[in-house]
Amino acid sequence: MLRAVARRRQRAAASLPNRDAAMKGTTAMVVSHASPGAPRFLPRAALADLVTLLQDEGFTVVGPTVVDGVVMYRPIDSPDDLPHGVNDVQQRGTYRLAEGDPELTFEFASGPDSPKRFLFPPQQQLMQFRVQGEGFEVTAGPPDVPKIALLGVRPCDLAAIRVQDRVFGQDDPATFRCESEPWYEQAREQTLLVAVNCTSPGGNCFCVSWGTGPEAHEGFDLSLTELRDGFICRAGSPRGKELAAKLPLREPTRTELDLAELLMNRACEHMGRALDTASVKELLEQKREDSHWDEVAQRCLSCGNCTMVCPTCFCSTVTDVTDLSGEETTRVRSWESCFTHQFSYTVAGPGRDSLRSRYRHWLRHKLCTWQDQFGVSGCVGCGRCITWCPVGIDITQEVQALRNDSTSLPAPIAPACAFSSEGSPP
Amino acid sequence: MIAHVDVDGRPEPICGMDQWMPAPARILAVQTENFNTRTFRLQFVDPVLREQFRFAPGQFNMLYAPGVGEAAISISSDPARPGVIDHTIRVVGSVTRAVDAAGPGGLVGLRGPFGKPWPMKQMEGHNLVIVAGGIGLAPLRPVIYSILNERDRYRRVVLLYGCRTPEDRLYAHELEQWEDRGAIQVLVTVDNATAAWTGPVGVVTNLLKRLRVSAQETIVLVCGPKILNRVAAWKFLQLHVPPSRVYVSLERNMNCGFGRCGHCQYDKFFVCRDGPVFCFADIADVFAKEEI
Amino acid sequence: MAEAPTAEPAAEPAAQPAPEPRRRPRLAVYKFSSCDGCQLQLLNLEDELLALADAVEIAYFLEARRQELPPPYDVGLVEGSISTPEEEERIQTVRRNCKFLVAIGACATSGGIQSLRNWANVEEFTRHVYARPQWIKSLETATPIAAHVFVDFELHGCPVNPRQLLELVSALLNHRRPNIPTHCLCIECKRRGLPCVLSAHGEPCLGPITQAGCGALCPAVGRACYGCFGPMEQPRIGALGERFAQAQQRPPAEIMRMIRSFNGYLEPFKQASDHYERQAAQQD
Repeated sequence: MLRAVARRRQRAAASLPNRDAAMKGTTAMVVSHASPGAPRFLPRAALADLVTLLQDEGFTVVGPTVVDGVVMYRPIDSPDDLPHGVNDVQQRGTYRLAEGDPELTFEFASGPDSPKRFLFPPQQQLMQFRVQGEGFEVTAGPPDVPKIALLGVRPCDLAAIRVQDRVFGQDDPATFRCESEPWYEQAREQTLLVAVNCTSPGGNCFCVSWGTGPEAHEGFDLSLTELRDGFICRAGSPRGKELAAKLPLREPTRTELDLAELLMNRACEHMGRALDTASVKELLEQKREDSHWDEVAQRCLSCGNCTMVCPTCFCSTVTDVTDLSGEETTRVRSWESCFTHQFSYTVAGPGRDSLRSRYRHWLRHKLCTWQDQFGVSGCVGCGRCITWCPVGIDITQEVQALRNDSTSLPAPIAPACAFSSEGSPP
Repeated sequence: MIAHVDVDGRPEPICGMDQWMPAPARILAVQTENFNTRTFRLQFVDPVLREQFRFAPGQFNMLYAPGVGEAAISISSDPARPGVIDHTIRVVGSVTRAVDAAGPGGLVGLRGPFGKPWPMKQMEGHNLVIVAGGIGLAPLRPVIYSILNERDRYRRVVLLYGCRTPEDRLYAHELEQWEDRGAIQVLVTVDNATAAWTGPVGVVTNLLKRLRVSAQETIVLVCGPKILNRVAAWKFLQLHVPPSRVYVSLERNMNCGFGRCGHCQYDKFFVCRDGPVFCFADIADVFAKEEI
Repeated sequence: MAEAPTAEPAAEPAAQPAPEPRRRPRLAVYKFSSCDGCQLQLLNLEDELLALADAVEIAYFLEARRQELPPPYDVGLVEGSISTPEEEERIQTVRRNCKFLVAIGACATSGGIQSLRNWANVEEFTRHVYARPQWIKSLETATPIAAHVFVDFELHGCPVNPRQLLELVSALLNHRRPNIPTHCLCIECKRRGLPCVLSAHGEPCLGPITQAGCGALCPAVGRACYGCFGPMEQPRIGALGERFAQAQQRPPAEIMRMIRSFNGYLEPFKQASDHYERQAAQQD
């Protein structure tokens, strides 16, 4: 037990330089890092080589595939499983696949899955143990960390991973001792990330507002920008450089580089939505009480879909499950949503009983208090919460409505005399 | 980032299997406090942990009943004697019922200590007013022990304690002892008196009328139900005690204990890590806001 | 305990009382107006059935065995709704005989599919269906168990989920709170990583207002949830109905029929279906 603590200490100490680098930007998402390697060109046919190479190195390659009309992350055998010629139309509360350019493989925007599913699984056994004499005998630990290569990670999701890195203790200097997540850390170390820059952003994307996309600058092993005959490929880590060395890459032509740059610029201009991020934290600090929360509560279902698809949401619940004899106990951690009644429940009753307070908590946490807690915004602009909200509540519009709403604030519940000179000492 | 989180002064939490494995502990003794509240004296099974365990007044443990689950319970014993750990528990939920059913000799688990303690260092050289309601006395008992252990470090100390009836008083015997020793002043009030009760009747904050508070030299510690926390904090602010000298201990739904699971969020704070003890100055703008 | 704690406590913990010979809790399973499907879920727990029979004494379970052990019972599982005068009396006896009474399934918790007759004329039904309607003794309404006696716990679903049933019995045996979620199905569906049938296919999915627990069976096969687990905690039926009416152009009569099904007589659904019925009538 003590050894585990010491090990964590060592790990924490070893990661100090990185942590300092990551902490430089406190509120902005963009953090300067070692610049990625020089651009190279990966011919389209060589995508299969990449997949095979990863498989040969023992990775399970997970990539986007079309499942029941939705692009989702699933294990793939070859590039044939990727969604070729598929585009998507995303609006508030709706998602439809459409026919895309048959020669392109990554023409779609984010689906409901994010890398969170693999680094912080939705349901995970923490341990299994039984009461044995004077103590608890651990009979099983968490499952082994799978060796996964994620292909097609979007820049906003890379940003989300960096946000969760802070939550799970890798980059967070404010964390308190035993709280870094060993499983998460190991999964992060082990998982290989092949990013694909966004050339055709979705209808609910607003990564440009946060500076998290459409082009990835850091946090990947390899990044690809899709052109018609192939990909502009960059290595972003030593591991990525090793991989690149084994791929049939060639020097890109001037035209290819120009085209890639043009595609990125065009993507910036075609964001489906925009969020005015300037002083959004200050706005929400002021809007603790606002009639607009009541208005949202009329529409919100409190179903928790936004929190489930959000790539940064980290709340979880640990429950004990026993077998019939009660001898063996399994501790299971599951994704939790702040929209459930149970979430804030104490003996004194639910902390947040009304829908207005739950939506307010979620939005204020994402955009405001997250920055106090982790020095970074909890929103990366992927737009998933807009697409997968059954009633199409749009975070960008809600923030705009809060900005525009100049109605007077309701009287505070605390008596105004709290700080007045009324009431002299007896 | 959040200020006022002094991470370094805190004792090392004990939790095996990285964060989630409780360490086994035995129930040595059970003391009945009132009709639904009992104090359990616990000791780690592992002698190494007994030596290693330290806590500061105001911190809590995650108390685990095998096969049932965990509950966040504040530590009520003397921090100078961390070899045995007292937890005063109201038997109201499935975990507390299971611990109660285990009884003396029963095996439970502990993870902890977690949370930010009372500002013992800052309290030195000050007058102290300790306000407790009901089971809110439990996290304040270690404060009183610490004061009694080193009485010279503090100036005048007053404990204001309110509960429903005289029979509901926690640590009734000790309350009398503390007062008899004269080291601290103890004022107890009840909501409903019995025939034998000769003390004051009414809410705790009424007891304030019996005090002269020198606003600039006093530190106030409050722990009780929500309504008491609010009224007590406001009353002291009205008496010109600066917000930076009023401390409140809050209750929230704790699941992990170290700021990971998100359940206990209170505005920007994780109550399990940035609290449960808060300086009023830090939470002034959200304190008493409903459903934060 | 009254004094300040001592540094050296008694080294030996108090001697444990000698364990009593283990008395297995007695389980009774009752049937009222129902299809027996929920009782079958208990029998469908093939892998755990032996362990269950070992952990509890099955004292009364006519679907599984003929033998009847006399009451009292520790746990009673009740399936079915109260639909006849005879059942109305029998449930009182059942309550008296069981320490802990659990209503299992949509019939027992909401009245079930047979409670649709609560909106119709029962006499007219019996006249049309039965050759000798005078032999039929039936109450005007089919009602959940909780409408007649105090129920300690309700397990939703049509039928109940066998895992939840096992979890409930395990929790009762170990004196802990059962891990039965009351949030909506969407959370369970998203944890499983299923494509959303509502957002991606425009299906009229009741997932956002339906309690989780089934394991997202229907969305897993591309079907919309039809609410057989009944309303979630604080369901927002009106807000979802608005979406069905606006974005999917569904008429009030259809929304009414969607909500008024397995759990149609359970309060939030009942009120909402009445609302859409009135709306439909106004449109005609």
